[in-house]
Amino acid sequence: MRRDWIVRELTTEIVVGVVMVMVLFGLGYFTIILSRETWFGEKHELEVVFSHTMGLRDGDSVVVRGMEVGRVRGLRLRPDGVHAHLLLQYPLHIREDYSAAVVASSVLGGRYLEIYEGSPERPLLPPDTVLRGEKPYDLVADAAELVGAIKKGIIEEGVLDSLKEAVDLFHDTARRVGEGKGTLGRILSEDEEVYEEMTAMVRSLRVLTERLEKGEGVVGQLLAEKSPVYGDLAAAAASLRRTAEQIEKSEGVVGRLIRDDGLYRELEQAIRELRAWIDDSRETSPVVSFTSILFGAF
Amino acid sequence: MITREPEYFPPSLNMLGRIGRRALFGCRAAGRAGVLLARAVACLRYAFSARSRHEIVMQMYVSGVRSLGVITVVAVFTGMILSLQTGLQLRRFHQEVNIGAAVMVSMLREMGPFMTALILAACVGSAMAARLATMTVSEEIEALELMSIDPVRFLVMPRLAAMAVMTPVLTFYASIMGVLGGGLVGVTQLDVAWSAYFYNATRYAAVKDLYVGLLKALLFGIIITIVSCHAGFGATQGAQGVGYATRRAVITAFLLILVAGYIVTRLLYE
Amino acid sequence: MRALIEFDNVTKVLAGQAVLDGVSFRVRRGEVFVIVGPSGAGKSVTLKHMVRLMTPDAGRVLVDGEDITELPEAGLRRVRERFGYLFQSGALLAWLNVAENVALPLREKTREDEAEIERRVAEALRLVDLEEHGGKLPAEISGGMRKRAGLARAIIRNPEIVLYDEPTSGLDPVSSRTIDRLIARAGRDLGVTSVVVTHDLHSALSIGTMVAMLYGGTIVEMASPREFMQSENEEVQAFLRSQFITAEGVWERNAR
Repeated sequence: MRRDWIVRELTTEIVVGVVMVMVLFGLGYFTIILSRETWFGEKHELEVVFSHTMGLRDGDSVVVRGMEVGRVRGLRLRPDGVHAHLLLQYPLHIREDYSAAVVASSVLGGRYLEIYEGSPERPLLPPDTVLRGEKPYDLVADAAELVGAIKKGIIEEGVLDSLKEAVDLFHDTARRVGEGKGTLGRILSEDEEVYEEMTAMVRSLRVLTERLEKGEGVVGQLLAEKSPVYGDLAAAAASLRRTAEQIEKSEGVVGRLIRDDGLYRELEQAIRELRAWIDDSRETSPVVSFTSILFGAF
Repeated sequence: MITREPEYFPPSLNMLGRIGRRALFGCRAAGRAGVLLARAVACLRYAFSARSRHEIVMQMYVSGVRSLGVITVVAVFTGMILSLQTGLQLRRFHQEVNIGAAVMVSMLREMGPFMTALILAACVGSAMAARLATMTVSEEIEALELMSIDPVRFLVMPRLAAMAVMTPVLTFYASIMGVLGGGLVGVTQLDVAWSAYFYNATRYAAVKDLYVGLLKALLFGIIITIVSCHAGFGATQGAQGVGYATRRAVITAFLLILVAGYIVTRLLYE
Repeated sequence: MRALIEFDNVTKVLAGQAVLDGVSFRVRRGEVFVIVGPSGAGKSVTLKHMVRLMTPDAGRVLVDGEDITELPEAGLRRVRERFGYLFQSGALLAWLNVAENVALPLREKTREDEAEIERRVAEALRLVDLEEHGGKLPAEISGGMRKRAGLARAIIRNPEIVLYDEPTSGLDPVSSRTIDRLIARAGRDLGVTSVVVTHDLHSALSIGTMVAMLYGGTIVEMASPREFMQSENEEVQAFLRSQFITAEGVWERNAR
């Protein structure tokens, strides 16, 4: 009887001990994974200075030629910009025409640092050089700039009228292409694809805005007011709007090129809703994210 | 002393008196629970004596290991539901891959600690309150005091130590189980590869999320133990008193867990 | 001779009612002092005052000449060491078996080695006829056995005074007499002073050297068993009649 009791007690202690040890191992393992620490393997350091980091964060990936090679480890604000300290698993041979830029990894935010080592024929830089990061690359702003430049060039150089005619003609063709009329339509199927793609893109943007507006799903949580995603979206919306205005003003250049009023209006609408939702989310985001956690869970 | 003489207050005549009395009693209960916590913490210095160590391990077994089953089931299904819900939303934008991040972050930060704490409050806390309440009404606590055995050291301290260790442990376990459950749904329902799911899951969660979750769990464990023990010691009037004490312990623990969870999130994620 | 326990005009108000209303008595060393009375007369409350599980609202309780009503915790612990207390239900810890329950005071409060503890536990269990049941949990044994186990625990540290709260209530007559014999044996063999609270006059009159009756918060009669039965007091008479006791009947049993 006493033996049984001792055995039972020992079993209990062993079971508790096994659970504890397993969990401690798991904890240690997770700590290593989540800290994204490169504890094993090679370590190479690199420093990049940015005038603007576009919300790059500690722990973000560093990518060379599409391959992840390390992590950002620490950002410090200095008089000459933000110094990003990088920890890499591979040595990089940086050449004179290198580039280092912050790139958005997805619509929902997240950044990574893309480094181009430079073309092989250029001379190597000394290994401890502090790299200069590029101004953040903003696709939408770029597009707006391009449109502005085209518009300016066209108006100033007086080719507008002749271009208008050409565009009218082109548009007529495009419409017929759109309707699938004539043999040309089939020949120009490439163009049709482009057209389709654009329509689809605008549609999905629209759907996205609607969903966001309702605060559905985790997206609501991810887009809490203070997260960098919020800022990104706001910025994106602003530049989209800018582009749209420029398109509008330059009637007939890009506008006529597309000339599908429905498509254009949808774009407008989508931008407006996105904007409104972002403003709304300023107030409602905590409530939305809390309820969506609850309903998401039960 | 833990045992207290029965109290009697004549019924109050007016509303104001009743409200005032309730408020005062509430404050007194909070104060007593605080003193109980302080005494239990002070008793932790005995935690490594052979007898206490044995008792603590027993309590860890009773409150921790025996809860593994129910926690596994609840955690896996919570993870599956989370994954399915967010996955269906994200699928519209072809972003199903991101369910990993959503499940991982919400399990580590909120769902893991909350779920575990609520389960433990309902299962372990109520059992604790019922056990101590039964002991109180059958004069066993008085017997301990007469034998000069401190009920706090003998009963509360081992439970506090066991829960303070086991709640974070179970929380971590629950989070992992939730993430696995989410992955299961991701692979079978949403066509996300395991590797993509886990890469995504570990990419967005931070060490801070993990440890803030565990800190919350520790706090919840202490709350459950102290609330349950306090309610148990306060039991009066036989079997009915045991039921009442148990019910009060569970309700109070639930409320305090919610409030404390909010406060910790607020303090550490500002 | 100085009284071992002395109640000096003790008053206790519970739920707005004076349960004890100026109670005074003395328990001398070596006595078996029995307090009888109907349910709710304040018998258990009186007992609890002796070890300050309750504190009087007025009056004093003295143990060996020392006023315990205002003792600090350390002093109280010292006084309580002198007492053994048998609770109504035995108050055994449900998750320990009988032997472990009996050993608890030794294990927790003394530095005896395990062999010595086991020897003393076996001895105490033999005294209450429970040697066979040491390995059982309290839930597995009968109410009478639980009380006996409680008694073994109460006397394991050889206290000077043992307090019995309703030792025979809820037991069949045979078990009750067994408990009575045990109380008498404890007084005789171990030389302890006993205070017994009961509403069972049979046991009160057979084991007591002094019987006091509590009624309405005061002591209405206090006398030796023989004198108690011949008391002129109305309440005592009614109480005796309610349990079918006549002076002759009990007298015969005492003589036997």
